[in-house]
Amino acid sequence: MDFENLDIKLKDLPDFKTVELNSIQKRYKKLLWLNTAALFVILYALPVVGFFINGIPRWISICVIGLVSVIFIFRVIELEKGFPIKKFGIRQYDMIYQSGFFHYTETVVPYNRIQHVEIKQGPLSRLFSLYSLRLYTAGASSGDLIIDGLDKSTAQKLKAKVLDKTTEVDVTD
Amino acid sequence: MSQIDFSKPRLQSFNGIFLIFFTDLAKRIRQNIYILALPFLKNNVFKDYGVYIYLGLALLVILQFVFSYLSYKKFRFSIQENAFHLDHGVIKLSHVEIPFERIQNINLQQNILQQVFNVVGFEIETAGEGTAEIKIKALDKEFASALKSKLIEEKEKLISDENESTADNDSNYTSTSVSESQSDSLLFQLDFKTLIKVGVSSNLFRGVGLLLAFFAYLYNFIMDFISQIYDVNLEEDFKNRIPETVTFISFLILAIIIIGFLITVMTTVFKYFDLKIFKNQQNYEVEYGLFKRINKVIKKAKTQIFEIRANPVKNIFKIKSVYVSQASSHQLTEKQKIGLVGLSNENINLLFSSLFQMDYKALNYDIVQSQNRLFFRYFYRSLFFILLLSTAAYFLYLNWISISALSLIFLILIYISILKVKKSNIGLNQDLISIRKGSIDTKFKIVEIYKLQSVKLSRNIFQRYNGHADLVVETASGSITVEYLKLEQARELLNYLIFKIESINKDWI
Repeated sequence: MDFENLDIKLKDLPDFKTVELNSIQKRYKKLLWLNTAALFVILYALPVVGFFINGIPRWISICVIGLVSVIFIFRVIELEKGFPIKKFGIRQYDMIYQSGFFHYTETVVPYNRIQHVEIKQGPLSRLFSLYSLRLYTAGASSGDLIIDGLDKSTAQKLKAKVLDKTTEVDVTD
Repeated sequence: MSQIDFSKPRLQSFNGIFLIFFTDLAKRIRQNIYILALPFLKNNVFKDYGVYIYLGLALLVILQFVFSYLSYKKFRFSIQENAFHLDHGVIKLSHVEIPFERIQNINLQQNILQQVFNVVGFEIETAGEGTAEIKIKALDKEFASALKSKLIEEKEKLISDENESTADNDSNYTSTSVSESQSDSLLFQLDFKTLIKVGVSSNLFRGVGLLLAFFAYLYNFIMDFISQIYDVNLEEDFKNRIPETVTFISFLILAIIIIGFLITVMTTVFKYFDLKIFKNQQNYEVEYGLFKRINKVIKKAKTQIFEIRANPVKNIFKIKSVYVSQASSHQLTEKQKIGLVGLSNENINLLFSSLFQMDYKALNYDIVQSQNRLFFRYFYRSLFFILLLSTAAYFLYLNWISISALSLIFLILIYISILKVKKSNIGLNQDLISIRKGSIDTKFKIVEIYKLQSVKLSRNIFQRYNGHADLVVETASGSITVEYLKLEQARELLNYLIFKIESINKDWI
């Protein structure tokens, strides 16, 4: 591409694709599986209960089971194929996060646009001692960056990095 | 102005009692509108229980008045120690305190009821967090404007103090400490002729939609009513007769479009009646409305997206609309954007150059076009929609009329898709990005690059295989998507935008 109205050449700019990305914790996948399993046990239970209620025709239950199964298959593919994609990268001035198999997104959030940082832990993630890091930007929540499945030290290092933009952080463990 | 003592808690204007009463009453009636249908269920309800019903209603109205009076009495506000204080609530008392520095905007407005009682509504907007927003329903006009200038004055004092103490000579604030006494200058006033043009050039489908909704409601209501009384099934009778003549249907459609058009013109005229734009130091004040007078403030620093809209009819009249989006904690709805309609190119230049300090005409953009493959995305969507309609038609009403109507709709959708693909692009230069969208109409959004919050590349599974990507830019008033760019182009754009955001040393708000 040739741009006349820009003051710099695009080719000279640092490319976000060249950054080495870090994977999140492997055990986060187990947690995701647990979540999915719990959800689909309930979703499957509903039509099965439907079989035993006389008022509901059989075909409705069968249709619901079919539909739930299709969603389940997609969910499993997303989980298995999508998990290795979930990665984050750190650059000097911004943080990068990529995720999603069916819908792959790469988000870049500059540190100087981050309003506040939060480390969160839900009840299930406490079992696995996993943490999620949330970077809030101004405006709608679609602009926020959420990285799930981090261990405590990484989460804290990342948080420190965001808060104090100058420190170099090494997250190879 | 400043001799009014704001520190002691005050009530709203006396007329406020009635205003609150009537608004509450209207709300109650709206909530319980379905009760109106009750008498039709039984024929002789009124004959048997008429007295009780009227007595009960009267009692309810009195109760409502007492409640409204109490809520008026309990609603007290004051200014104390760098904050605006408000106590309210009849059963559950609550106290709200807004520090001056959190106040973002102060809006005055008058709906028709407020005009009758000669009071104004007073609204304090705060940034983010959401919960602390204050609405005072009824204030005397002079008092409201005095309160407004007092609050602005206090806020500015605070800011200038801060600037002095931190020795922060940020250029944004140096001129805001100029005294408030400087009078507002009128920049633009919409005359009635242009207003009619605006109405004529508005999207008439909104009016048609309103009309159809109204008709559907009316139809149901009348059918219920008549069949209750005469005990006949009119609906069947009616339905049997409609298909007899195609002319009748086309006549009906034509009538609906004409009336819808008139409604659109009317609502636009009511909404934007006597639109005025004032320049108030660094900011702009916008005022419009016939029955409901709305007053909004456009703040330079808060302005995120500058959107120019045009369509073929507007082009003939040589007018355009501008919608300004201000920073907010959530995605802005159409209603929350500040609409300035009926502007000429000169007006837009003036507005743009004073909001952005750039000459609108002198701007050049490098354009990156959405790829043609985008057409398939819209095509599949229309296909899905048409299939849905066809299924409905198959079960309800299948003959040559519905089939030809469906094919016509499909062709129109395809044509619109082609237009959409052609119009979709992103342009950029050193300071700005421009995003163009639209089909028959054109929406041209301009955003300053340093105001972007984050940038995303989004690719669904098909785009991953054919090497395309959607570019999503997040601003503090919602996200904007540019669909189907070539992957490497999108990547370069993202690199450029991120580089710019990080290298420009300017506060985004």
